Amino acid sequence: MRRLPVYLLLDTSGSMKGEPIEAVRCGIQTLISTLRRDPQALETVFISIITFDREVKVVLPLTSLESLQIPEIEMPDSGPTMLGAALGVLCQQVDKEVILSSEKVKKDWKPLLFIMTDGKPSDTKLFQEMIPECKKRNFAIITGCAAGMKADTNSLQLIATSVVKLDTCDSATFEQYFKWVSASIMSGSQSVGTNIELTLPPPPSEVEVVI
Amino acid sequence: MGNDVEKTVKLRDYKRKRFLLNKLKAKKIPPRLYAYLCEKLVINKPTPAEEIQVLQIMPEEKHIDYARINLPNLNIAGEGYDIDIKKFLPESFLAKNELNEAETFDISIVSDNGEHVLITFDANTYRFTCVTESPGEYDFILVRKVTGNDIIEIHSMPMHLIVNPDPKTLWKNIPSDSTDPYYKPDVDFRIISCGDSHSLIGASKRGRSHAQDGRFRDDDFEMFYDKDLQYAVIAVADGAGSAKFSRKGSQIAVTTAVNQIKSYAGKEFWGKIETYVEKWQLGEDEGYNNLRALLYKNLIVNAAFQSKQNIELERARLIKLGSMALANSNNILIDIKDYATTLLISVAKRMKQGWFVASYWVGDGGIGIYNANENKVIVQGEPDVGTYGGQTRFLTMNEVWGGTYDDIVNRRLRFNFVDNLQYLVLMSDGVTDPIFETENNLNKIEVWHSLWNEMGKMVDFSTRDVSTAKALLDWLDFWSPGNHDDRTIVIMY
Repeated sequence: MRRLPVYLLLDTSGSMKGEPIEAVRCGIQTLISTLRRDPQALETVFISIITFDREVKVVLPLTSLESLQIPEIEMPDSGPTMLGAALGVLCQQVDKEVILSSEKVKKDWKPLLFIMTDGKPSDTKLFQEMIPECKKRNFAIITGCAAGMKADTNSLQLIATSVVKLDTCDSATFEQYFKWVSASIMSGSQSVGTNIELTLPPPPSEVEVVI
Repeated sequence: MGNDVEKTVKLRDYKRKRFLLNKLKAKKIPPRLYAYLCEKLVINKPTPAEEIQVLQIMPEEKHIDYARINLPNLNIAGEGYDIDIKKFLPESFLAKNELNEAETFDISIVSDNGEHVLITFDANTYRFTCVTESPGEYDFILVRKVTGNDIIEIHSMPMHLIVNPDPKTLWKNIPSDSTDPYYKPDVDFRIISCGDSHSLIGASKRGRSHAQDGRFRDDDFEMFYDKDLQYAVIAVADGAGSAKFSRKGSQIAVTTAVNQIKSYAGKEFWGKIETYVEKWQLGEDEGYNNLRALLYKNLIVNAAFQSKQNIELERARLIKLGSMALANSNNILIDIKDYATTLLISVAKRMKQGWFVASYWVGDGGIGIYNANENKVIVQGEPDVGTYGGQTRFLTMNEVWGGTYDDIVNRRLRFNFVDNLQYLVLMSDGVTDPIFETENNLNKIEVWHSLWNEMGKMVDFSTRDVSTAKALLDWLDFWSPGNHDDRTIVIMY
């Protein structure tokens, strides 16, 4: 069976504390339960969650949707947003987890990446260095999500194939965003047998597309 | 002066209190106001009888609540769930604290959807079982009551269980739009007799992932047998899943390929081929080189190229027919990529000593000359696969036609001579993916044996009529997790 690896990179820096991170948690819950109702996704989607604040944590290594349980997401009160370091960890995880060639098992589909942040990378230099590294990993799509007014869309545009902007960090907005993420993943799991570029379904009205 | 004020306030408070108590006696006071007044200590709150009772029991019971544990998911609703939960329970939950204690376990369902689930817990083995047909999330509480001499400990452990739906129940079968100009039926199955010894049988079925949202079958096949000249032509094509007109691309590819070969392969042509096959069998380079050139220029490679050309023509035709609903509905440019398809072609010619089989292959899927009796398989070519799953090449890509004559022939043309032709098989990747898993396995005879074993349970190859073809179609519906693409198989046997 071919797996569709999906990586979620989530900002857990201090500014996300409180309602925003709770909203993200609810959003992920919605995402998982929506995907579980889609037969194609249920059998093929594997999800990994990586959080980044002053440190980067792989809170969920690549796990099948069937056996997945949403992990606890802990976060510090304040501190920098190490997005560059997070991309570094992401590349390591992709190299370790995504099956490219094997004589015994099936190759994976091209992985999908969703990055969500409410700020901008603090480790600018490392972030710049990691952009070409990430591109080498051949993600089918990289979607950046700039959540809230302070989020920096410019840096996300450097890495993402498309960027969406959420004006607020409340649960209704995140719910819409994660519904859109699940629609993107489902269309990814359906594009069987092709190397034609993936196209994303149109985002909901709450989500403003930058690119 | 000060005393007067004090007196006035006291009098006012007294009057207010008396008024309220009178009202309360007459039960005229609203409950929320009553609670507010109690809080402000304007009136004395009476002690409810229940609280007294609770106080009397309290000293004997000790309640210990634990953080929720998540049980491993029940992967498919309806399947059995029976696990030892001891390893998930913290030590303190099971800790023994006193001599002569008696412990009991009790498990209960606390979620609203509880009527859909049956659970048991065995205190001796710590086995927890669960039966449910309804996917969803369930909450239970496991209570361990330890009755000692002086104290009763009540340990409460909330447990959470996620039940995944059975994927088989989630698939929908939505018919494709029969009014579409590029419509084709969701299934196809046929059988052709090839004289006394052989038959051609083919079946093609829309994949579940296409049926789920009413998309078309993008696979196609065509087959032909010339009884006079005793040769068969088989073509199988798999239109790209996300290319919007690939169902037409695959159809044009297979029909063109078969028609082209029919028009080239006359008596004179086969005469030449036969001469060169004899020379090749004797080890003469002249035979081998001429076979390559003939098959390239006058037979299968050329037929494949014509298929690509005809797809180009269809695209041009559609662009011209600007008024056509099909093009209008997608108000964007029509690209050749929109017709992307793979193509597998085989030609099998009966000769004096056996069969000459030649194949051209672009894309994924598989072509094999399988002989179960001789325990042998010849894979006629190699699939186009990329670094990641699902990547392949299509007939419509320029890179497939780039390079020199040698590049194309070495990469895509194969021919063999076999004494006995038991089975010649062409499959789309909807079949090879679940059966062979990796391209390497195409060469493994065991996998071919097991394919025949599985197919043989539903298809009786000793019969040669339309029911055999229907059985082959029914077999194509086999279940394989994650593999729900269109499936096509053609067998000469």
